[in-house]
Amino acid sequence: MRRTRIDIINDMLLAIVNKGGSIKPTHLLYKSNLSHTLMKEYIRELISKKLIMEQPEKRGKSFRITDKGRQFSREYKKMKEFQESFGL
Amino acid sequence: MVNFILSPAWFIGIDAGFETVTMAVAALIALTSLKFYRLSNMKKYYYFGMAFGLLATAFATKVFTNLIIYYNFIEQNSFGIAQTVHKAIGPATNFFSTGLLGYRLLTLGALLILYLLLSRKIRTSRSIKSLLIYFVLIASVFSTQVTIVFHLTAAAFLFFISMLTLKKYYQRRAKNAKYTLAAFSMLTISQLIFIPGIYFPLAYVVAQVVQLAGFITMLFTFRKVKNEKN
Repeated sequence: MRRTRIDIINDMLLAIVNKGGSIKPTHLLYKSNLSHTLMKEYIRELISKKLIMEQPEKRGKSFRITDKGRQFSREYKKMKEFQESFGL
Repeated sequence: MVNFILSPAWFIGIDAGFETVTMAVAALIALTSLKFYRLSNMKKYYYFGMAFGLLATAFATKVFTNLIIYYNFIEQNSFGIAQTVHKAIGPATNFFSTGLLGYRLLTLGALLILYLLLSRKIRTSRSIKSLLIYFVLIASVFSTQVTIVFHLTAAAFLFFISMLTLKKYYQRRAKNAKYTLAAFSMLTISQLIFIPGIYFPLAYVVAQVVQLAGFITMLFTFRKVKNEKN
């Protein structure tokens, strides 16, 4: 079944949580199962919604999940069920 | 003299109790939707929360208006002071009309938002939205003189919302969507029963019961959503 926007966001956040809270862009690209262009678009959205933050490192950068991102992940199933139940 | 009280004497206050429950259910759904909006920044949660927030405010207005009128009604009947009754009629009429207009405007506004959201037309052109808002305003104002207009308009909105919910249920087969469909269908039926309720107090009682049942069903759906675990 085709993933909705909220499914993709949750998959990306879960990928970061499963990597200990921080992940490199290439790992996220692999785990999120998206094209590079689409992943960049989602990362921009996740950063703008303060669900993740960019972290500069010695070699390149990584993405770290925020408290709001963790809360999103916890509430994901309820949000999805709310969405499905009320036809949103 | 304007007939303020559609409820039979034995039901006075009980209908306010029913509407307090519906107000609480609407407020609960609104707050949850707005919480999800804060988390996800997805506009659909915001609009859904706003619609149910308006519904909650509408019922709060109606409960407040009705309790004031009922209290005056009971006082007048208890004391039977003609002079007090005579003085009370003028301001009571204005108060009731204002409260009723507020309730109807907020309800139709909420239903309009719900319809636009569920039909994916919330981003439709400004001119169409302006026309629909104008329609809601006209219907609300006109319904203060012709009550049937409000109930027919609300029933029409709820019918289309029910049809959209039915379509989404068949498309996605979400297990709780059937309860939402049942809830909106009951609310549609309740608005149609309110029409004879203008003339027959028993129909008013039935309409109130069906409306309450609709919101209780929605609460049931909400509880099932809240119990979902990750």
